[in-house]
Amino acid sequence: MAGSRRSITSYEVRLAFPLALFFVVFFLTPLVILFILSLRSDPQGTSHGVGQYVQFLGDAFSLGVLGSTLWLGVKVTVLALVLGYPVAWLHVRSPGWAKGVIMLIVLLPLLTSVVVRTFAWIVILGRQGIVNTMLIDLGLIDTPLRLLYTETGVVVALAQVQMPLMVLPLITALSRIDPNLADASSMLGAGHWRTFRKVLLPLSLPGILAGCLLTYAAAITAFITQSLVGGGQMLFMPSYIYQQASALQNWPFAAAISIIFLVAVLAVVSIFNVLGRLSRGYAHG
Amino acid sequence: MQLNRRHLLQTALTLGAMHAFPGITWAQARPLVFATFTGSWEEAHKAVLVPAFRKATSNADIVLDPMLSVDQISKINAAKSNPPIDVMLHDPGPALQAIAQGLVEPYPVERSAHFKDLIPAAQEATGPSPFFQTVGLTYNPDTVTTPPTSWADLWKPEFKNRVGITNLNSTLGTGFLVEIAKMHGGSESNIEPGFKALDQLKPNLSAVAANPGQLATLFQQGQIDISPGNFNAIQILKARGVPVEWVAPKEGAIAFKTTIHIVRNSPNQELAFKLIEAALSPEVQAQLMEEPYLIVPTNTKVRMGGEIAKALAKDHADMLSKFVFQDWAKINEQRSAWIERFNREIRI
Amino acid sequence: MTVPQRSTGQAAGQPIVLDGITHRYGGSTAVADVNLDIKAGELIALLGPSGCGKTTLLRIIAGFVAQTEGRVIVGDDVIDGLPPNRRSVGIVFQNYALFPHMTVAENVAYGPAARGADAATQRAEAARMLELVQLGHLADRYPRQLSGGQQQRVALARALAVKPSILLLDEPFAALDKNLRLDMQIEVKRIQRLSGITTLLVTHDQEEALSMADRVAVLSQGRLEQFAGPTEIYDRPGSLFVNTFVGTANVLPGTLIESGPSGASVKLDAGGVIQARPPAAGLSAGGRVVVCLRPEHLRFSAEGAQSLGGGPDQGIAGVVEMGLPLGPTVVHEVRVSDGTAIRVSEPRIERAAILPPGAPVRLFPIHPGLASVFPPAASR
Repeated sequence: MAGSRRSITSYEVRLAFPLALFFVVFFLTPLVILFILSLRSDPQGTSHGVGQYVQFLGDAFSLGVLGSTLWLGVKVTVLALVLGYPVAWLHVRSPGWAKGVIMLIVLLPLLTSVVVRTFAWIVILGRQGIVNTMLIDLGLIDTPLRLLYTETGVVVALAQVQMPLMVLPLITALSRIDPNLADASSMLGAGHWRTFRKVLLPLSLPGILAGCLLTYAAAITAFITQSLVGGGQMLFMPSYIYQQASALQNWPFAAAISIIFLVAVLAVVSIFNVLGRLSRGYAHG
Repeated sequence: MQLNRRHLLQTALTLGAMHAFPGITWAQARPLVFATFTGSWEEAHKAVLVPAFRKATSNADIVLDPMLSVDQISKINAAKSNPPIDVMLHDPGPALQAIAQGLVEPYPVERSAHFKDLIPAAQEATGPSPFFQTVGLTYNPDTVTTPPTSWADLWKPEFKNRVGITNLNSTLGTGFLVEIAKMHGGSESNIEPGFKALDQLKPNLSAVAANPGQLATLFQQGQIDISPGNFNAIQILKARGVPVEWVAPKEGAIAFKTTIHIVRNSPNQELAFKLIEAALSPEVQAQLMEEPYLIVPTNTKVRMGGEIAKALAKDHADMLSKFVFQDWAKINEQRSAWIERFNREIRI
Repeated sequence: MTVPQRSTGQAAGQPIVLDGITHRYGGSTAVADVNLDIKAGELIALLGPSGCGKTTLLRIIAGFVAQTEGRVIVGDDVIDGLPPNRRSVGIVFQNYALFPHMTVAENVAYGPAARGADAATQRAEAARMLELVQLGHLADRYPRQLSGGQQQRVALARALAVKPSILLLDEPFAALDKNLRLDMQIEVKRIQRLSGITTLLVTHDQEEALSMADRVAVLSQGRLEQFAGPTEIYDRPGSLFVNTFVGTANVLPGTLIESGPSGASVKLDAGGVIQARPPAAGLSAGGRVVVCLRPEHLRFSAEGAQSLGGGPDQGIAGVVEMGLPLGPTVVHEVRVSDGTAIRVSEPRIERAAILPPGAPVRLFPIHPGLASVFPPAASR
């Protein structure tokens, strides 16, 4: 019995080999090359060292770009969560046909290119866009507000563009919650808010964390939306890397920024993961 | 020979690899690979340059592989001894980088039929310039009723919150900065007045686009009414019904040479030469000058006509007096410092 | 199990009146004009097959569903306008619905906390309730660490901790295995008696309904078929549905010969005439009817059994198809002349040998008043 079980395991490991090879060739190797590149002291590679890292970490401007990028991710994630939770809740609590419609609306953005979605936001936020036209027609403002090419615009657009990443894990988590629990809670005298805070929120925590993790990672690396809605004067890490590599051909510095960004993102992801493990323990006793 | 599983696998892998990386078999003979730019460049080259090349070489194989200048440089750098590209197309900044990195074969000037007919600025031995790009002022004629005449018009109070520029990642943005520095007594080596002027432009700035393509969107959305703009890009917008006009400012339009180069160690040196010759020929240049391409010719044998004659210059002498060329060797030396400074200072 | 000999301090149960409750989902009627008058402290079973409207009725009382018509009156108050959290109702769900992220004690203290009790009161209340269900030693466990029976007791303690005046049990024993089920039924009955709380038990299990409830409300297709004590339901079923759903019944078609307040006689299609208890009004002599006879009310010999009236006293003729010994009883299936299969159940103590298949037999009811007469099913 033990023997046959062992052979099954080894078979499964062998099955994973193509994927492992794929990862090594197309992920690990480029990463190592990137790291080696980042150790060049100048673009020609005449000498090596950690100079590029020292330059980045010693520069308030560069650290500011890193900080504002990570902070942008926080804002987008919070907004996506606040907007996405009710959608996920609605989906879980709707009858069958409405579930289908809501799911379609949630998934629809995934079926269009992120460029298309982002251009839609340019149309919405522009001077003659939907928001400004409406505000002027309502007589609330006289001159159009500057919405496009502002950080608020970037946050709103990113939150919408990445919304499916937030809503889908939330739907999974919420639909795994027994609907009787909410009924039991109200039967015991709890109002809606208490039921939400004490029962639904803790039990949906794994979904919240998974959604936040995906949204955060997608938001801070969203080069297209960041640059199309944010414009050229708002610098976040992806554009910073692009600028150094593409416009300046300073590959070593671009590589170093990439590695630093990667480490920063991994740190945030690890925090989410730890929280996720804690919440799973919490949610399932 | 015994056929076993391992043997089959090896064969399959080899075949698979050859399929996945057809370049492996290209070492002997492959079509000429021309890395043009994407978009209207590719369209123009496919429609005009490629047929001319085929005619001149009795149907030699050619592949257009449009990509950014930086991508061309990195691809060739990755395989210097057997480059995957034979002919490169570059803006002035990247051209100098490619030359500095030793990726460029000198152009066989003495064998060229057309080189001597080019305007002097286009006669570069490292790679001639078959086309110009021209940067002037773009405006929305619906909202800007008096056409602008000078770069200085961008600072007019009436354009508060209506001006768009690009950042320095683009040739356009960098060229514009150099030009306004010159306007205020600076030069390629003294950019300080340019940054000062940019600072004073801030109240008028509505948007700093990440690339010139974004400016088009901003015009379409009514986000900006006036900006520095590329002549060719504006013609495309106009053709699509966007209300935009282009004028050359009285200080002169900024001209960028787009240069074409034979890649060092290319296995198709002769075909590459023939392609460039076709690009320099008056026939091709005259055709590319017409609608819808409107590409400024550099061969003096081409008679200026159409929209180009109307908006830019009636002949090559006029062109030379109206165009401003910039010293990109000097610009390249400091461009990274400028970009860094722009990153820090230009926030709206 | 020892019964704690002290008062639970529960508020006394309240009487409940369901006054003409009708509920429609879209086009279909889930509950049709149900009237129930439940006394304080009673344990009522809502019995019926799935889809009969019993769960809808429960959810209406709990306040999760607003009925289309009718009123729910608890004590002296009409509670239809109150949201679930303002109704003094406790509920134990079929799957218990314990909060998986809270300990047993936290689950039980949830209600008092939601109703504004301070921390000390919450703890004391939880401890007292857990003692009532004899789970004080498991207070710090999580629900998934408990057995099904323990989880159910926690659910019960949690429902009772808010001192409800009504307790609703939604198929509470369905998830338990058979032996544990009986223990829990006794336990719930004990706690219900002790607390005096008015209780509605929703079940599709007739044995559970008959053994636990003071009165049983049998529902079918949203209608109340009969509301009476368990023995009344079993012995004097009010409808063909009740007769066949509760217990087992042989249904024999026939023609009504005569009917009166003292009884009825029916000529069976299978032969013979059978005496039955007085039918409901509306049946006239000469009409088609069905007669229900429980298997345990039939014997194979006339000895000790009631003779069939009207004609030669020969019983119903048939042929044995099969005989099965079932613990304390022996069941035979007999095919009679009109093709109907009739089951006969006898105490095994009365029958030494099982009859072989093919044996010709005659069937006799043990007493004339035990058969019931109903209109044929199609005309219902």
